[in-house]
Amino acid sequence: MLQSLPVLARSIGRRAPAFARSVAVRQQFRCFSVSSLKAAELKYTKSHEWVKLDNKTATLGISAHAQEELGEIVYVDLPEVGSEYKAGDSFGAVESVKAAADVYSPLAGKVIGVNDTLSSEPSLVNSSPTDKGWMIKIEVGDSAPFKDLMDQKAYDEYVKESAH
Amino acid sequence: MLVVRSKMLGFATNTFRTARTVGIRFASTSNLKKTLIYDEHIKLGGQMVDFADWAMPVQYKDHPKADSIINSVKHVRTKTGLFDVSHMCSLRWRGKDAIAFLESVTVADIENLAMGKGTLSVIPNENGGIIDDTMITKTSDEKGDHIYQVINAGCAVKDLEFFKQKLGKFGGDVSMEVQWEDRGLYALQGPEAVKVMQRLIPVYDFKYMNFGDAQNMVMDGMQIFVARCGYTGEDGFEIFVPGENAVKLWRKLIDQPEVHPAGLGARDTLRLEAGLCLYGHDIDDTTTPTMAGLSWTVGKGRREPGARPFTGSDTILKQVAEGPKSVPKMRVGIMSTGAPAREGAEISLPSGEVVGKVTSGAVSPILKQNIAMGYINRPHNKTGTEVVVTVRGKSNPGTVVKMPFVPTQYYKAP
Repeated sequence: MLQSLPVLARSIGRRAPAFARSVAVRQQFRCFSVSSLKAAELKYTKSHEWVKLDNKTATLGISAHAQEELGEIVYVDLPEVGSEYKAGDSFGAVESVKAAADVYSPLAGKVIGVNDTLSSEPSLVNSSPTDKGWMIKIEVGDSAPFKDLMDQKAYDEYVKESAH
Repeated sequence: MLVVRSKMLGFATNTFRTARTVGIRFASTSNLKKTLIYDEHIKLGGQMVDFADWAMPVQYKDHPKADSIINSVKHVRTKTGLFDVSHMCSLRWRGKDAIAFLESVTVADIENLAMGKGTLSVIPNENGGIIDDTMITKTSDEKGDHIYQVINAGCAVKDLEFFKQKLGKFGGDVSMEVQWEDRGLYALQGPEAVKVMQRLIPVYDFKYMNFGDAQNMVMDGMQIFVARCGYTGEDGFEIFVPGENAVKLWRKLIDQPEVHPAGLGARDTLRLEAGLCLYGHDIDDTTTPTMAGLSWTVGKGRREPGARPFTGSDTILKQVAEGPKSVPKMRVGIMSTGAPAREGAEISLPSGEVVGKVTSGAVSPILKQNIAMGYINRPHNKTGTEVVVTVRGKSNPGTVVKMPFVPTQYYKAP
């Protein structure tokens, strides 16, 4: 399914908005939980994962578009805390009624948290893909690749373009 | 993650790719064959995919009658779902030697099949493997008594080729009429299917129609051929309608309050819950009826060696007579924990010895547990055997269980 989307060579090197670079400001935005601003913190991979970076801690999940494409998620395979991955490694898999897909981390690092709730409620990936449906937290070694990921606007564009 | 690792819907012999991604629905299904009610699927929000070169709905979305795949399975189990199965191919065999011919290429005892009765059968190859599974029904129409047969969409081309080749050698008075793109074939499935049919055809008393019976009927002026059968484990009907009324009949059925459209996604899960085989996965050229647990399809009247031979009968009849001990592996049901076991997953014993492979798997929406079918080397196929199913390198404990996973509800007249 999703493999049929063509990978487009696009300019995706947009920088995160300035407000996202200050911890203090970020905290403040979090308190307000303004969805549009929160969405702006997320960056996306071409393989449709989202990543949120807080200092050296990255949170990963799959995009709203990905869960929509996969359909009802029935199982999420997640790694053990302590597992280490190189950038581009698959750290787990999601299974829907229609398909199973590997999930990749664009950043190298060590797993410091997994969302255990997903083992009993995999459907959280459908209902709340970028919040309650988060999958793992990793302690990032080199966060440099983060800036090369797509922001929301670029990702939306990418999804739209890929459909053609 | 969007490098999708594997497709679950059991359609691997065909390219299963969603055509739904924004705006490309029409483009990507344009080279596919369409059933007569393609536009009705689109109106209902059908998510069209390539299934055996046909554009078929895998599920429906964004319509008051559309359900997610899981809810669609539940709807069929509690109310009624309507499937378009027009992609399957219908055949009508006529002529005084039609029975003899069809018996030479299937395991069914058609000679002793009563008028208006249908049976599941298989078309075997020379080695006793299965070319296709098929429904065979004795019926009649304005042209007279004949045998009605339905074959799988994905197998139809090779089946027809096989039949033509055999017909050439057979001689005799047989004609094969193919009805495929030019007619509708719908499956109305679920506990309320009979209520719907009784309301729409009040003159016929469905109370006396057994599961397996077939009958010509008239619904709202439309001539239809109704077989009480299906592929979901539920009570239900498969309805054949000539092309001119294909759209009208579909609309009539879908407009009934109990009825929701159901797609290939729900159908695959429903048939697996019911323990029914999907050709190309759970049965194929290399599995014999005995291995597949389908010895019962070999009619009693067909079991005497040499009496009424059919393709592969030497092998098949020997195995049917000797039972499972004559084959190295058997089809089984497995329930496991952890990640659902999918097609291709290895089955081993707790000791580590690999003893088989999964051929179909899913999370059952009804049982909320992982269910799977597969083949296990004898004698480890025994019900209750503890096994380990390997999914993505992880070992998941499982148990060999009896099928169906969800009890079947086939109707029996009083």
